[in-house]
Amino acid sequence: MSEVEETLNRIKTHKGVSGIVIVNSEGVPIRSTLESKQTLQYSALISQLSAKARSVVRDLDPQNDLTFLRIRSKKHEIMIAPDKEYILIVIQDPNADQSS
Amino acid sequence: MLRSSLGSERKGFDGMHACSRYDVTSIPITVSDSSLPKHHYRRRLSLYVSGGSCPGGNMNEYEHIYMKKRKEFGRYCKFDDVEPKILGTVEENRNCGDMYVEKSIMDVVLDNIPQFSEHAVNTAKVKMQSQTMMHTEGGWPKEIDPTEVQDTLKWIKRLEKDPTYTAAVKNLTSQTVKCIEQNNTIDLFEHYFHMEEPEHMPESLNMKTVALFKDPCDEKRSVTKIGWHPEGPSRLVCSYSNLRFQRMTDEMPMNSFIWDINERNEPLTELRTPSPMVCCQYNHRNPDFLVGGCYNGMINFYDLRKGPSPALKSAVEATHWDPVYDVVWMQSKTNSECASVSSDGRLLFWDVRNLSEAVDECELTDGGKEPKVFGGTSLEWMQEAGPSKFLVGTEHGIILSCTKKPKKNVEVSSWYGQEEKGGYGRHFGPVYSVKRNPFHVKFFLSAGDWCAKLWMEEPKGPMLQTPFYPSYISATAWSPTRPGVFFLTRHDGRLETWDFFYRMNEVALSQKVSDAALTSLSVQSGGSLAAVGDADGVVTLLRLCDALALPGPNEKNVVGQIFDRETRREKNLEAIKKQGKAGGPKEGKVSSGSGITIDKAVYEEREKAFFSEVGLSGEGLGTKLTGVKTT
Repeated sequence: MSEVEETLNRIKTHKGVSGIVIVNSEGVPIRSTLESKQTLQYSALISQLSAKARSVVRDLDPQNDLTFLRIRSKKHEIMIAPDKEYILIVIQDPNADQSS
Repeated sequence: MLRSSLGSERKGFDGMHACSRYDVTSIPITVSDSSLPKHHYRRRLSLYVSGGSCPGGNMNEYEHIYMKKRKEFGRYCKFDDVEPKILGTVEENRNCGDMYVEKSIMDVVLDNIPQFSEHAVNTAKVKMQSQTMMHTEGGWPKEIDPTEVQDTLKWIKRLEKDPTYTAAVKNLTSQTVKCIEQNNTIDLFEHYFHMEEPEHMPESLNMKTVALFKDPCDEKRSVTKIGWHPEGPSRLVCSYSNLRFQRMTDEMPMNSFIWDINERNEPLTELRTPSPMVCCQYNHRNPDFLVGGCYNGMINFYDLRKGPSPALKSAVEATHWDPVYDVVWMQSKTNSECASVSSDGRLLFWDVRNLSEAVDECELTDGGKEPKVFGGTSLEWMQEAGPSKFLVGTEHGIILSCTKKPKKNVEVSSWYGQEEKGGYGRHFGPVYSVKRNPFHVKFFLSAGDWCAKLWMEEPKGPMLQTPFYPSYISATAWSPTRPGVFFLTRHDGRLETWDFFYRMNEVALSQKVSDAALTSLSVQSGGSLAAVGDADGVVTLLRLCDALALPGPNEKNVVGQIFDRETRREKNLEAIKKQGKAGGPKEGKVSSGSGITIDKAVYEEREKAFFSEVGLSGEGLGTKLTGVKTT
């Protein structure tokens, strides 16, 4: 197993983690644990959003940069870790143990 | 000896502007007449020289900056020493000093806030439309076709071997893991008091305007009826017409509209009609079916799958002769039965599959030997109250209850508020709205003239009544979720909210919705959205606060008890009245003069005690007992 797979598996073992997607800077999904339709949606929408968020941070202060983006929603939290080349998207339901 | 020196110096001299500064630095004064006290003389002098500056002591410095060319000043002045000359004298007058009155109260207003005049600007209306699009596939390198699975897989495989990729993923995961662990350790967004019952706070009731739907036509038509889509708060059907007699012009557009509540600028669909629709309603079961009543008395049946034109129209000879004021769908197996009421005094029953003739008919009369016909203006039917019962509000202010018995003609069974039938308390104008309470269906609300009245099915008079308002009431509606709440629309643009669960003596919330007269009202079955139509063709969508939408604990029972109590009170009053009529003369004898009997001795004793306590004594105090039986 590759090193990447190992780290991803480690994330998956955390409580409430329901999906991981790795997207490149163009919005192409490279690795995903979700089904294909959802993967496409997440990768397309979130790459746009993170690009927008980054431009907001940079417009406000050109020396600054976006390091992390967390979206809290009713059902889950989407954690977005942007890099120069890739974006890691992790979907977690923090209340997984309560609802089950 | 008096000598004055005036120092002058020039500062700068640059072509256009010359700055000269004159300083009156000092005016030394020498007193020559020693017979006068020194300071007096000075004061007199100061009148000439410095024009009121403080006498003696230090002289103030005056400064002026002139922006003037030198040549405009005229000739140079030359100062010479001259012999003192007295130009005039003002003798000291002590009497003037006595006349001096010091002003002790001063009224000075100081303000450093600049004053502005008020401006109001109405900017041009911008019509907006929202459009969205989403790309789901893309971003692949040029040489790779995203539809070819093999190619894409190969490309991804190659990418995964890239060391920058692994490094990036490692880096990113370490960041993300922190967040995941945070989430799993503490609930940052914990919802406190999640399952608590909402506090019933009648003090802070409010409603907010969410959207306005304006009639796209230029000519003003009133919104005569609003109907909500049966499946959720998504669409509204609004009927537009002008009910004022002969005020409808030939150019007035006829069509009515269906609005999507998320799209405020353009109606979703128009409903074409040969004559403007006064009322239109969605079928409860099938939201593609609509039935509308027209100004010319026709009934239109729309099937939205077939387009905006009526799928069927009632035959002219079989339909109403006057504007159809209200139409309701009934629940049946075929989902095709409806009823309509018109000011021609008929309640007609229809089957929308065949509109060439009415299924049944009921004449709205006063029930006398020579029946007078009442024009119907509102209609209420509710499955829970009994599928055979119809309530009709009439132009005469009386409410009729019609019963549809199987295999018999529909008959008027009760007349609410009609004096000839032993009722009382009718409205003084047309009853524009009759609505049954959705939780206690025996009780219904009527709106007419300047007030709303709450009736019960049995007694013939109103059980409760709102105070008379300064303007007409045009529509009413119960809250579908709160048993004690109802709304009234007024002709002066206000929406009144009554909450019987909170208080019965006063309105709970009164809100101005529009400048024009409000004409129609409909509350969505969720209870938190209300649509209000006005005479200018604007439908205002209001969001009601939670306190108005969510029922309080045990509210249904409490409100039921309130209604029952009022019914009992009404019945008791009725019984007392009857008794009074039956045993009138008998009671009269007993109570002739006065019903009070008083022991005279005790009375006088008490009176005496009172006056002695107050400190009065003597004869003739107190009152004489007249008209009271004494023992």
